[in-house]
Amino acid sequence: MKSFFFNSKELEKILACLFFAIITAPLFAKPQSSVKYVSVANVQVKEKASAKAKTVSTVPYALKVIVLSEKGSWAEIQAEEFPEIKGWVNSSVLSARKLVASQETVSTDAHEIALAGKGFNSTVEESYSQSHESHFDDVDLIETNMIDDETLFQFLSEGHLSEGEE
Amino acid sequence: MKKVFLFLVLASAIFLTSCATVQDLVLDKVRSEISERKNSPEAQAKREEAEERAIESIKKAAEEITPEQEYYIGRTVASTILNKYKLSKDTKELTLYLNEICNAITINSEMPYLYKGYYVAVLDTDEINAMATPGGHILVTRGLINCTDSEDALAAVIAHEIGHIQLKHSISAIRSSRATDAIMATASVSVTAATAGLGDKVEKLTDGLNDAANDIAKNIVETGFSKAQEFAADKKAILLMNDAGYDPNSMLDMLALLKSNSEGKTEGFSKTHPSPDSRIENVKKELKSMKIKVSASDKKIRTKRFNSINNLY
Repeated sequence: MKSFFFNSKELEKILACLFFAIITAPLFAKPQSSVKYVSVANVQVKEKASAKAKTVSTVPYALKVIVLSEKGSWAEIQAEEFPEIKGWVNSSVLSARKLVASQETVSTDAHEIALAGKGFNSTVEESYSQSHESHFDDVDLIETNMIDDETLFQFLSEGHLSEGEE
Repeated sequence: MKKVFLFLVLASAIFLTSCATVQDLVLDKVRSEISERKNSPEAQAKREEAEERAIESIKKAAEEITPEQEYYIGRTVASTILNKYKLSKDTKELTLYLNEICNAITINSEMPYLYKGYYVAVLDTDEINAMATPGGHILVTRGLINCTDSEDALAAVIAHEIGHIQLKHSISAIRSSRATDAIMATASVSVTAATAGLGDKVEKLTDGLNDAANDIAKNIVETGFSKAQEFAADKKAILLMNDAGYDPNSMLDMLALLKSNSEGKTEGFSKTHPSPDSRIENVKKELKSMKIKVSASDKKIRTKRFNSINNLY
């Protein structure tokens, strides 16, 4: 078949250049910040990469954040929708998987609103307790046994136990 | 299908128009025809395919489940366990102490946080047992606590349960398709045709929650985890203990104590765990390659505070 603009050798060259450009493009692209989601309810965001540092804010489950930097097992994050929320969290509370809270939504995305409220939540639990023997009051009681940071560090130090990663 | 239909029509025609003996003969022929089709290689293959799909969906649900869903299932599992055992409410200092030990272990682990956190509570029974839900609730009986003789031994019990939680063993116990469907409905952010509309049907979700909790509670209270999972939890426990500064050898002390306290017993952990001897053998093997951090003086300090709590009860 006769080509209209180039002869086949020229076309080959152009395609080769294009191919080369495509596969090397990532090297020249701007580095993408890492997007993560908070996978734990009520996370304390710290001023510095340490469990003993001051808490600057508390963030909810499923919050979308950008990871700015990492230091050991800590990650410096900034909330995408609320850039004033910035600080350090333990990397283990972040998930690469997109999460949607079943209790309430933290984003204004219509798709997410449609999905929020689905799945097991306190409404389902309430419905369950109407038709089954249950002890959720006692479970609530169990969940009040929180140990604050100060108490914990005293316990660790008095018992000659490890102080967690700094 | 046409062949079967014609056969049945013919058989019923002969059946209705003939005498008793012939009727019996026809019935037998029909029965054997149906049974042949049931056991045919095609039917067999279809059943195996359905089984494989069920196993796949159980595996997928276990992989896809979100921390929030694990938490709510965990709460219902805890509630189910409390149908059988009473929560102890007059052991405030002991409960605080157990939670301090628990936090000491988790803060030094790779999974220091769960959706709502880890919590330890005491069950009011002499039975010797400890149980953990995927929601982070660790329930230890008075009977088991009375068996321990040091903080490090108590830490071994708690670390073992934390091991089950961090290794997500409970979720693998879910078998019901109502449960896996409910889990998958919220797992991925995209709603598939199979689960569309399921997520907002509270009734269906209640069934799913019920099934999930029952599957897990049955596993914890009646049948127990697999031997491999128990050994894995023991292995994880000694690593957790060592990282926290507890003596992993205390796991051996604890298992020996459990062995002597459970001779002849069939309830509690004896029913749901492999023999203490096999667990001791397994732990000894793992300890060989471990670089142990603890010192004897550290243990002594902790035993002092253990005794002061112990003397309260």
